[in-house]
Amino acid sequence: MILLEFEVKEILKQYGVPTEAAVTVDTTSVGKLNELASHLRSPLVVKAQVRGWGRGKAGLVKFAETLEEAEKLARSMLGSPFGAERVRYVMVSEFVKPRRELYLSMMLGGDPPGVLLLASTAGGVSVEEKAAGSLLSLRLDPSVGLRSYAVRRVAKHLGVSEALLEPVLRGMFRALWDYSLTLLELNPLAETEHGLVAIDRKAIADEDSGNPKLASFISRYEEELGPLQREARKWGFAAVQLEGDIAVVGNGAGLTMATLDAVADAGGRPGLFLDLGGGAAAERVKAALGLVLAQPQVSKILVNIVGGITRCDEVARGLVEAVRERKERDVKIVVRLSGFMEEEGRRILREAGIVAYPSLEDAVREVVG
Amino acid sequence: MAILVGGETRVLVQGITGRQGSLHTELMLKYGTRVVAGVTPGKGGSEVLGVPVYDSVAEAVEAHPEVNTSVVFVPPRFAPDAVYEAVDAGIRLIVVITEGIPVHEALLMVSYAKSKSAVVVGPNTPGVITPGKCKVGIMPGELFKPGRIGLISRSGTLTYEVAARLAAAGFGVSTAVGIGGDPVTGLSFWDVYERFLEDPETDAVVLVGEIGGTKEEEFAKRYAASPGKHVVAYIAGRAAPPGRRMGHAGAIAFGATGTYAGKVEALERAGIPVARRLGEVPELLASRLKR
Repeated sequence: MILLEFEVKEILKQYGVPTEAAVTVDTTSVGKLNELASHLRSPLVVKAQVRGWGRGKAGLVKFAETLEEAEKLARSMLGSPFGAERVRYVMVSEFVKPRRELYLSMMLGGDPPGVLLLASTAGGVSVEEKAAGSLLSLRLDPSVGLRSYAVRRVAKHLGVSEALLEPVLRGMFRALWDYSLTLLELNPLAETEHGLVAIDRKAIADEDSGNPKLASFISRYEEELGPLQREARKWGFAAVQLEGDIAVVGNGAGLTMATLDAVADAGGRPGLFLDLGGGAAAERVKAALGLVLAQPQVSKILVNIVGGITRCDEVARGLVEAVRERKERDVKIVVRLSGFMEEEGRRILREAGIVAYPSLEDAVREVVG
Repeated sequence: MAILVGGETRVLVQGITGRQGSLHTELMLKYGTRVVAGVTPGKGGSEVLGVPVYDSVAEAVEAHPEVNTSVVFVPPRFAPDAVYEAVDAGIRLIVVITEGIPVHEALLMVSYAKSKSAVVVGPNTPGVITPGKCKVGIMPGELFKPGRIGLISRSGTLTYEVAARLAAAGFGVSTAVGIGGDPVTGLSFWDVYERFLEDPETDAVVLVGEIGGTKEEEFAKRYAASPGKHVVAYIAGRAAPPGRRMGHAGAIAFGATGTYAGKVEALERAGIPVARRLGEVPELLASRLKR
């Protein structure tokens, strides 16, 4: 789960990482911005709160001289689309003039696995392009943690004093563990006359962690979910809404992604990604298909099953039942079955008037058609 | 000999009395895997399909000192404990099928195992199979034909798909290793590749990756510095939108990290051809091996 910027700001604040003065509003509080933000000094930055990268390029970061202007901008951003999401919150911040824009991040990963600390003197929106040459990458072993020698290396690389940097790094490291974050990114970390200020920040939290500290963030995230996502979560499916008309359903994340790629490659426009997970029984398949059929933008469905733990006959039974219950929907269903019990599965589908292809390529051709 | 598992493998199943544990114990036994003991706390003294069950790994290993591999079917909340227990009982290959282990817990668990020279495969892996000899995991054995291609993957069913395509093109598999779909796993692509490098029964390697994380990029970097055997890759997720988690906990691209384009570029720069479509995997392999 990608956290919203103001959520990350709350976390950082607790751990003593300096951030700018700011106020976050939603549609119910945007009218009171004048009172809420009266303590903020102009100029102001108005930033849509989104669960993704690239909001600057999408025109969702704007500058304002007055609170009235900020309110107007905030109102125009609230409810506007960013990818598949709608902006629910807008943050109005004091503009911090950076002398330099730095980049700092910590993430779980690496080989051997550890906490990867990345630092660069080229912060800002396009850090990815600029940073390659000036990127310091340190691996922190979990049994070692964040030691002073690492802080010194990062301080030297960034050209900032150890005294200023140490609380930032320590705060980040503690937040990463306490909040089960798999990524925490400060970009940019502004170097100002008054020290370091994390003026933009992102984080990904591990939803599987069961960490009670994440509860309020998870419930906020769940409020945003549409009926499709909510239902999918209940069943343990991974569903991602896309823009086209072809729903892609598969058993297993990698396989479903590969199927999505094959559809796009053949010129089709995927409208939904749904991973059934392993061992999908008839009942789950039926529920998944029911979900897909309830999506108005979907006019075709490609189901790709490689049997193993999953039995093709079970999948076929679930499919047939789902279609039977939703006869009124004129949706083209193309199925590819392969592996465990595929013959039986194909027979069940054939009797219901659904053709099942043995090869993915044929099925993709048929559905894109 | 292949890698990691083979004829000499003697397996302990942790969580053997559960639904998944007992089902896959049966399937592993049918495949010919030597499952010699199982563990479920509180169920010691019982049997699953003739396999004796113990309360603890220590007891199981004492009664069956030949055990050299454990496979973990324990739910996410208890799985890290099961892994520590296996490491402490001296087992040096632990295959963790469980999906949904908290990432930070996985990091600590994997690091501990490494410090004791134990190998953790996974978490969130379909397991390891040396076709015709031994499978430790949940993959459908019949899709894997014995042969001389090493297969390393972050995925489950996609691995089966690739193995089936290899088989159809006349390529068999020496060993297939699912490193796991989570952001933190015990084995990297390189860890597995290094083992294939030393395996005289493996001629070339197929790497099946996906968007998210930096595992493919890390592999490319090390491969560029010292290649060795031919590697052909396929990366899933070209059409996936950025910033969305595509099923696997690790399958999320953000900013410029973990993107399809970045991975392909890194691999190709290292001299590893990347199949655009699944069907190209055996073609690329054939053209590499001909040279």
